[in-house]
Amino acid sequence: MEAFAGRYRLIDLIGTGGMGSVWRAWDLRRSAYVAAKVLGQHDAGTLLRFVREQSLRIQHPHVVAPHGWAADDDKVVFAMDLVRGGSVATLLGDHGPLPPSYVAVLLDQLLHALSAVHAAGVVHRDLKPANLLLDATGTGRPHLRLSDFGVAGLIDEPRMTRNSTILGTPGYLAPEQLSGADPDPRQDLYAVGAVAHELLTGDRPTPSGPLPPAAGPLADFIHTCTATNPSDRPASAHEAGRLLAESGALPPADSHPWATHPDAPEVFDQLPPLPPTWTPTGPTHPTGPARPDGVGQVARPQGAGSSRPQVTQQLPAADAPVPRAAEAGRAVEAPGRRRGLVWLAVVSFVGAAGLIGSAVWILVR
Amino acid sequence: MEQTAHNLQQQVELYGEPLGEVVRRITGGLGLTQGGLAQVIGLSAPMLSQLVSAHRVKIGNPAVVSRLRAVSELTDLAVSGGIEPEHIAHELDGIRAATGAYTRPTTAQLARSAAPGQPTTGQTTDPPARFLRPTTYPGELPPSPSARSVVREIQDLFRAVASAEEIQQAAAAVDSPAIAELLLAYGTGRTADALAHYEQHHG
Repeated sequence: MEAFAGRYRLIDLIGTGGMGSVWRAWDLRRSAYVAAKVLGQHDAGTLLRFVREQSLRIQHPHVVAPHGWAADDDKVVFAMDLVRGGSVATLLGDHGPLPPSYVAVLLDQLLHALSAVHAAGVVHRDLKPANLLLDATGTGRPHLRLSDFGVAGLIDEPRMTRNSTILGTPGYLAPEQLSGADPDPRQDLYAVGAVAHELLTGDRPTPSGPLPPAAGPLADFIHTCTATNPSDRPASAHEAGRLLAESGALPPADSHPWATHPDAPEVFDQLPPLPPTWTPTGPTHPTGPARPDGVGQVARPQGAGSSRPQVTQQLPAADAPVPRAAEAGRAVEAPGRRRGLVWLAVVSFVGAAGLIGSAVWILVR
Repeated sequence: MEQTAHNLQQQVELYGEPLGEVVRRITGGLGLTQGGLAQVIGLSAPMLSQLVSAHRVKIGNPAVVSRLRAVSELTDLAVSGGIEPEHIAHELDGIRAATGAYTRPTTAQLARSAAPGQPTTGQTTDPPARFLRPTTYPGELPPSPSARSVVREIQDLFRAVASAEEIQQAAAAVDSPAIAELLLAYGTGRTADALAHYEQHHG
């Protein structure tokens, strides 16, 4: 099996998104499983910049930020902690509307994450259930981890062009984001309100029009966070956290009021079993130093008990195979050169075999 | 063991039959894996597995229930030969994309989110539902069933009252060509023809 850029051995595909794919991978340098997000070079720009400038500053129990990366000619891999419980979107699919106390715990953790992110001068700008990952905590207290900083922006930094595409997900975007406002932490708080509404009702916010009024103890919180005018929203994530605490929906730290519910929310381990050549502590046959090849075919042998399709996966071809390894800042041997050598060897071998064959034929004729 | 038996009984009360049987019927009838079905109806694979084994009783997400019902109907259709096999994948895509939001009564939704801090136990806001079998709708049909299921109902109605031969004779006897066409389309034709007729006239 080959390792991407000599460092990450991709094991199985665990998610796909609008941009790139996410793999369970083995980090040869750290000797640990990681989640590896594979992006084309031209999609990787923002995230690459984020990793280089901000990632180390946002280390927080409720944030999953890339902790390493590697690049080859046309792809970039970002390595993150492997989070096993799926996302809040998975949870919503499994359970529909969630109990208010459970929602309040999730929101509280999200606001703590946002406080850290905003303090580092970053606005996430794409908060939605699919970007809120969960540890596999079963029916216990959930543990949320904010992820996917693919369109994050820096506070107080005007965007380069006014006419660039609006990034983010309709329905969760603050109104001023739609009209091209510069990054502002209160845009993330709008999305928190929209997510809160979805967690309580099970309904995705519609891209057009305001949210229907919510009922229950979190109604005021949602109403304030999703105010059309940013100055009517809580001034900061910390302020929003205070508002949440005042709602009374947030249970004490050591209680689980939802557990008495007959259909208590449960965060399952969503990762399929490892392929046979892998154990929880790593590969069964650690190979020597991995070859610095590009991403190649990753065999997925039949794994017992896995319901996922067991096929040989191949990463999609690069959209723009322009060599930019140097720009990526980490020189990696280009896969094209190695491929050329292999072909040269094959051609030489066939040629030699042909010559020998001809000689034999001439001799025995 | 006893708990599982109790859970199975509760599933029968909620859904008309244990979810394990529903899922086996669907996966067998459509040639889907359980993981593939989970993906179509929008459940995670571990959750579907918990429901199938009756470790958990209830599907919490109403949109999932409505998608499961749609797949169940599609299975009945496929088993009875009412749909060409090559169309099944397309129908499944449609079900996967459906939000199913129309099936959720607004009042139940409010009742649930209005319980502050302490979720109601034994809440029974959901209507008694035996809807996984298409023939046992409890009076309230979903407002927008697919054209195909409407056509199937009409065909079933025709076949319940008269044989194809009788319908052909009746069609030959009526003066109006439109009525003759109607009788032939639903009473004797293939589902695809009836569907074409339905879509042409129903807009």
